Amino acid sequence: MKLVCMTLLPLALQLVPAARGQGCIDKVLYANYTQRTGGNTVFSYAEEEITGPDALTYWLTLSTQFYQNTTQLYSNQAASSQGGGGVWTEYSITLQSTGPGTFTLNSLNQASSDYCGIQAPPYSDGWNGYATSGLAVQQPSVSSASPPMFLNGAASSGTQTAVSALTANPNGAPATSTITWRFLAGSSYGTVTCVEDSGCAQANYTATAPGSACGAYDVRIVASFDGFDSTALWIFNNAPQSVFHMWGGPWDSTNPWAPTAGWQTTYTYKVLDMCSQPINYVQVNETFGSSSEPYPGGTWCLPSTNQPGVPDTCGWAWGSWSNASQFDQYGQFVDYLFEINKSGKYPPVIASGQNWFDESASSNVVDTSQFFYAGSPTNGQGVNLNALVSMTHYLDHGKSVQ
Amino acid sequence: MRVGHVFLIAVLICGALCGQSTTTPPPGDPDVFLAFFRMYDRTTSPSVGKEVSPGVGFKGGAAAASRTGSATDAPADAAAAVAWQRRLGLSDADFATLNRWSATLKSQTEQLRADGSAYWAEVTARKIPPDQAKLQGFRASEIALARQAMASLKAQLSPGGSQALFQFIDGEFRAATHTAPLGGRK
Repeated sequence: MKLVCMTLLPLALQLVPAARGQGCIDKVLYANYTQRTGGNTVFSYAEEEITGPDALTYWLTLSTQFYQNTTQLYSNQAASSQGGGGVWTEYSITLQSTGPGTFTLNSLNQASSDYCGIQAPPYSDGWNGYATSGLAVQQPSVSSASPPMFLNGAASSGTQTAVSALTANPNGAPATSTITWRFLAGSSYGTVTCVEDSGCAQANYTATAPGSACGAYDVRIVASFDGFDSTALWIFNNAPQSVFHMWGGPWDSTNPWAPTAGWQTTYTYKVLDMCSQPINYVQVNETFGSSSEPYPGGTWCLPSTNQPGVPDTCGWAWGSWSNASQFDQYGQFVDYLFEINKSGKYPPVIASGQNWFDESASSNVVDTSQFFYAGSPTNGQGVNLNALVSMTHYLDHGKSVQ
Repeated sequence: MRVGHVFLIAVLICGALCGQSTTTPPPGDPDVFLAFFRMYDRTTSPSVGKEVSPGVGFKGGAAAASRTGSATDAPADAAAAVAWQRRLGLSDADFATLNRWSATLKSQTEQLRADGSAYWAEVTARKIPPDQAKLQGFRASEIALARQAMASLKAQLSPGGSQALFQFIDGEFRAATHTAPLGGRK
């Protein structure tokens, strides 16, 4: 069709001198524009204006319809008065109210002028023009580098961290948007602070309480772009919850301690999380509760009298497993129960691999309780693993029972 | 089919289609420049239409020829203006220059329009044909005003601000603008 027009138009105009373009040389200028003016705003604008010496003689009309997806949100009909001046319509959408979607502005422009002999459609000499513009808006989102592990005060411990690095993904929001972070739910479970250097495009979430249950996503956080909320990031605050004796039996092995000086019983543990899954790895420490010394003579040391990390003359010390080298690849760590030959106490000499395992009352030398904590190297600090371990030392071996 | 019929069909087809041929104005078009400032002014002015809730704001209508403004006017809708500042990436100094020119252009173009409207009212009342030279004069003044403003703005904005503003006007905004000849007979 274009080719036909281009070929025949000059000739037709020559032969039909009264055709269009004779006399009035005005043009219509019309715009149809949709853009994101901010994180929370979509702006659509349409206008119609006559450019030319006869602009004063025109009437203009502008019909607009504004859509979100296929739903018409609004429409308008604007008309100018004769004597100059255009018509225009603007729509400004608050995304937090409307939600994401594809926004479209359709406009129908019409111009007429008695003076130029141009009538509005449907008359044959009328002019009209259609225009459309649109913009697809996605909702921003938030992503997390890693899930948090509640550590009761520590930012990190071992391979675990209480802090999750969050990233606000604009998904098309202008880079100039002001980003703020807030909780939709679960603000008592953590804190969120934005990284200033990133313009708050990044933030740190710190778990300050364990989740309400295994897999309970108590926390919902959004990043808001100029007030347009992202999709919510759901967070489960996992936490160390218990210690697990790895081998099922009451102990792993008992061996001589410096062959003539006592015994050493070995336990291998692993820390489990709220979903009973092993944690690899988190620092662990222990404390002891009240103790008794049922063995006649009363010359065996009691653990409750010792200072954390400082072995007493009997060799007791509150343990702390704070280095990676103390954990194997599965996060397992070893606890030693032992008695050594000191003045006033005489553990029997045992040979390697030989254990009497006499657990009669008369062989009971020390009774105490043992508490494990995870997430700190400091004794008594971190997450109490709710593991009340009854620990008994006998003449020739030790025994811990959860 | 006779040759005359072919011409007749061609004329009819072109009357319907070629007469409405639409083009995008060229870069640097003064009418696009003025259109941008009309948009900027209108969208940073207080709402003159309705507010539709929730979340849909609306402004619109016929441009009033009698609007007033001064060269020092700050945009009434500050939030909308700041959104434009951020959208265009203008410094505070360049933004102030933009607003000053917006107010200046508004004042000058509306004065022209007011003069034109008054003249047209007179023509209509007296039922006389308009003076072509006068009509051409209004148009020439408008174009001259736009060209002068373009040159002054380029000189007064920082190089970065000038580039950002005119890149937007001649790029994204111009692409959303169309022009079509209307033709017609007097």
